[in-house]
Amino acid sequence: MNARLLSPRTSLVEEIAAELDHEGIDFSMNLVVFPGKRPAHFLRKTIAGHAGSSIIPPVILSMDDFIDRAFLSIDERRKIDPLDAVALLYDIHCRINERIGGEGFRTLDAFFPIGLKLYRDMEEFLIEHISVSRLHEMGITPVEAMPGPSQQRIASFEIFYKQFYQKISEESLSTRSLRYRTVGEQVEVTDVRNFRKIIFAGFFALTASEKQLFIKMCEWENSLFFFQDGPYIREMLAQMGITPEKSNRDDDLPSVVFTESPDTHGQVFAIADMIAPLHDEGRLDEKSAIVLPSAETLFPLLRHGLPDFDDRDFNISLGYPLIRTPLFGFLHALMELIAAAEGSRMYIPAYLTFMLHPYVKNIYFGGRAETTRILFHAIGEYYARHTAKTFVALEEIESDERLFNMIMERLPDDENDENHLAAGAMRDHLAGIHRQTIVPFLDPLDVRDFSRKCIALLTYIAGQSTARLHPLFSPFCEAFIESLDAIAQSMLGTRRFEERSNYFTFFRRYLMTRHAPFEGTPLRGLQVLGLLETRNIRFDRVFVLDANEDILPDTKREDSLLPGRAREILGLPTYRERDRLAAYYFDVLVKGAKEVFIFFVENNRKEKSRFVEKILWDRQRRDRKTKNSDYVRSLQYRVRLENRVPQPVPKNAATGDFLSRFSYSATALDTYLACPLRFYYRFVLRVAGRPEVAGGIERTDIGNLVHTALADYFGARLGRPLTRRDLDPVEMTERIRGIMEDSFGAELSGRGYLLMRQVQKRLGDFLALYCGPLVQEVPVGMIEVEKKIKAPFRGFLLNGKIDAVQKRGDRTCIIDYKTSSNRNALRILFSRLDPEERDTWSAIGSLQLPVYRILYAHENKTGRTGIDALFILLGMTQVNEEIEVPLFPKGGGDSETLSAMLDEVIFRLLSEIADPSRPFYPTADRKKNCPICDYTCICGTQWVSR
Amino acid sequence: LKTEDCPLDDVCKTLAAFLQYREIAPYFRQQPGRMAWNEQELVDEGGRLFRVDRLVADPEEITVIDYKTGSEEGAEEQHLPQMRNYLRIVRGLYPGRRVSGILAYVDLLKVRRTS
Repeated sequence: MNARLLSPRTSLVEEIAAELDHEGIDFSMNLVVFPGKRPAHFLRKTIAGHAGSSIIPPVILSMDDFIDRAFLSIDERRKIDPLDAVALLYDIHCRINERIGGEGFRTLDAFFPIGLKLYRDMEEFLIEHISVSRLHEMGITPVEAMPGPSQQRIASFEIFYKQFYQKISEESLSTRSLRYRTVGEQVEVTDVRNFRKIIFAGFFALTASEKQLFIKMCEWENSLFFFQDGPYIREMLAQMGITPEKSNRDDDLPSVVFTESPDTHGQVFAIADMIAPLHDEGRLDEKSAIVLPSAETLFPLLRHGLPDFDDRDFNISLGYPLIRTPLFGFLHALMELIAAAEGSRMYIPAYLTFMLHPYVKNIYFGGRAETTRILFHAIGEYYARHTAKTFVALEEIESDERLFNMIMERLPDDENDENHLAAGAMRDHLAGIHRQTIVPFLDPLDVRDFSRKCIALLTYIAGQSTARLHPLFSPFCEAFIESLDAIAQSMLGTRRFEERSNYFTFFRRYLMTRHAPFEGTPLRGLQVLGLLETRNIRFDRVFVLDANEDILPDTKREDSLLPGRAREILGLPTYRERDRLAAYYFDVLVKGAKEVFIFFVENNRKEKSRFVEKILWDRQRRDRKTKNSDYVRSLQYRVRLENRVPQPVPKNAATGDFLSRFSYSATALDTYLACPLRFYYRFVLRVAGRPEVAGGIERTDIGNLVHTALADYFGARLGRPLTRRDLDPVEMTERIRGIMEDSFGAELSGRGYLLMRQVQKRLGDFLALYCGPLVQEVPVGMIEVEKKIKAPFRGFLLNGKIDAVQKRGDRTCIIDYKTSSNRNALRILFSRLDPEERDTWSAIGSLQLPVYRILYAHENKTGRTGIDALFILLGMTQVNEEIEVPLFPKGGGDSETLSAMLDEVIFRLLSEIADPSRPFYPTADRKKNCPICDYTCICGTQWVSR
Repeated sequence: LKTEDCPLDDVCKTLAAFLQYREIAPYFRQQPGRMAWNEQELVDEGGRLFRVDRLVADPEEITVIDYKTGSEEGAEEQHLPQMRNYLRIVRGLYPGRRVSGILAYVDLLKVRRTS
């Protein structure tokens, strides 16, 4: 009998090596076929090791390569790839009436993912010998437990199936399944018969075409089949009428250690602890493997599990999904930018997200990356601070003088410095980056042009930025370029999309099906593998991570358009076969090893794999134990739940000196009152929160607009009494429109337009309902708008900008406009305030008005008796006299006394700030102040909530 | 490289000239006792796989030919270590026979012999 069943502990490659014919060191008369490519490395090493010299190796092929070779010896039709197939299927889809998905999926990008699945299903029909008539039969005969729409889908499958392979035949093309089918039917006329010996090794889960091939070749005298013993294999061989010789060796069971952890990283930390001593002792060679059934654990493993390993100490061989790579993140940022652009005008937040991507902002300029980083961070700051635009054209950025002045301020300015840069050079650099990265994608001609532009972009980034220094950039970049090249070369290459963003949609959908292969040479070092990559290779020491349900076996839904019931009826593989496949390879892997370490996550969402449960149950039965916890090592984190509390910052001599000369604004004093530490970060260290470019109109924009409009409007009426005729809502409306157009452009839309209308309405009401009655009641004259003042105060320096100063009758009135409506946050509760009791200072909402009174009185060399001060709350629901929040409320006490009290508070406060022996303490009221603070990340108080 | 950058006619002309080149043409002729293989796989004693472009086995001598394309002058020094490795492997396969190598520069119509 030419079929043998080997125990998993038996080395498959050793058995094969012993069976090969040879003439001296020439083994080329043998053909060996494995399901995949990796065992070939081990077989060649084994033969050369036995020969003790170099050899002419046998021909060793994966099954796919064997089929291609055999097919091409009798038929030269070119093989298409799935992209070509989608192009052909889409043509059929557009032509026929019985479209899958009805009228949906009419466009190519929408059809693309369906097309890929459709192609996969049809290839499965062909390789599994499902005939068109069988599909026809299913389409017309009602099937139990299958809904009508599913049956209709099968009817359209029939049309696609028939027309697609007809087209393939007409065009003299072939597909993978067509080749399998042909070789299965005609293997006797192919050139593989010329080999003196043909060995098939390590197969499981065969398709109908493979079974046909094996049954035929089993009859050949020069063929030999090796199978590895495991669950379901005997059943499969019996179905094919193959009775294998059984290897007599009895395997010892491996030692198995189980480790459970609360999360993925726990597993990785546990494995790191285990392998570090083995690595130090040089005991981790190619006979040791870390198996990753889920590719997502690769990066945690590399980062935390193998941090001290040299690249040559291990080899990775698994498919990593391209959409999880950093390169996809980069292309995704570009996709978002192009999708959000209006014609040639870029949406600024998307533009900055792309330009601040590490691959872009680190493009070299004169051999250095920092210049470009300064450039793009300055652009980000510019658009956040100085303009309220939402969209901007690239040429507009490149020619913005103000922007480039700002950029140049941030660059070295010494003309004698060799790194000195001219503004023109920076402008050219920016324009160059635009031309290389964004501009090509504004106008793609077709799919091929788009793909080639993507390749050019990746090549540019790889060559001209620090991207290539990032871990695994090169293999990922190669995988992307390979995928893009496949698109460019495919029959889809000449197709066009109406919308340019659809090119990206199509590309993204294709990438979702692609993996970076990581096909390392596995002859040296620790092997890091996917489960399928372990096929046919025996390891002495195996570490299996993520041995959890949903991963081992992978219980994701069938990637097929056919309902599960239909697959069952047609005899196609279902989830049951997938589970069997995983069970088989896992069993062979474990039983083939001497030591096995299995890691799994156990928490409220994840449970251990059924395969692990089975091994544990076998042990319990053997040892007659009722609990399996005796076998499982549990990894627990030591967690400190204590929250970090900020510590006071002491002052030094330099701080004291700085504070004694500092010019204090009312905002600085209010900041210190709220939290001395916040004052320290903001005014001493000058740590500014990074301005965000939100792409819309923000709260600060509203405040700026209102203040500018009021200053403009009343600034035109300075030095004379206001009359009712001065209160002109139409003029106010126009002024607001002008300010908005200056900031946001002439064509206001969406939020910008609504904001303008809101502000126009509110300030119109302010003129009519607040100012109108006021000028009726008392003579009002505008004295100042946006007045900046500095003044000394008891040995300190104060400063401020007063929104407006009016004369109301014989009194001077200082006004500060607020767009908020919260009067409690601003007023001072004098009844609770005692200057000598520090704790009572929390009764102060804001020191803004008292400071302004001091400043204005000093500026005008007058006493403060005749000066009132008030806030005007423009955010209140109703506009009337109630929007005023006066510093000294009527009936609240003698203003002279209150004023003296405030002077004392301000002086004591300034003295406290400047006191070198008093540290900057954290706020006394964390709940009130921390949630709205910019510096919580420094203090570690992100955990505080209201 | 795009297909349109290398017109088929030009490629055919280059190949024809190369195959007729006096230093190369003899290795594509049939000879008594000669065997020749293209794209021949070889494995070194460590199990590593190599693929030589053409291996010509005559009764007295084995010749390894490695084709090089492009017109980069002075690249020979970079190609020599690879050829020396091939020769070392082939010597292990044919002990006692003379082994030599030819770096064949297709576009330049030039060879560099080594042994």
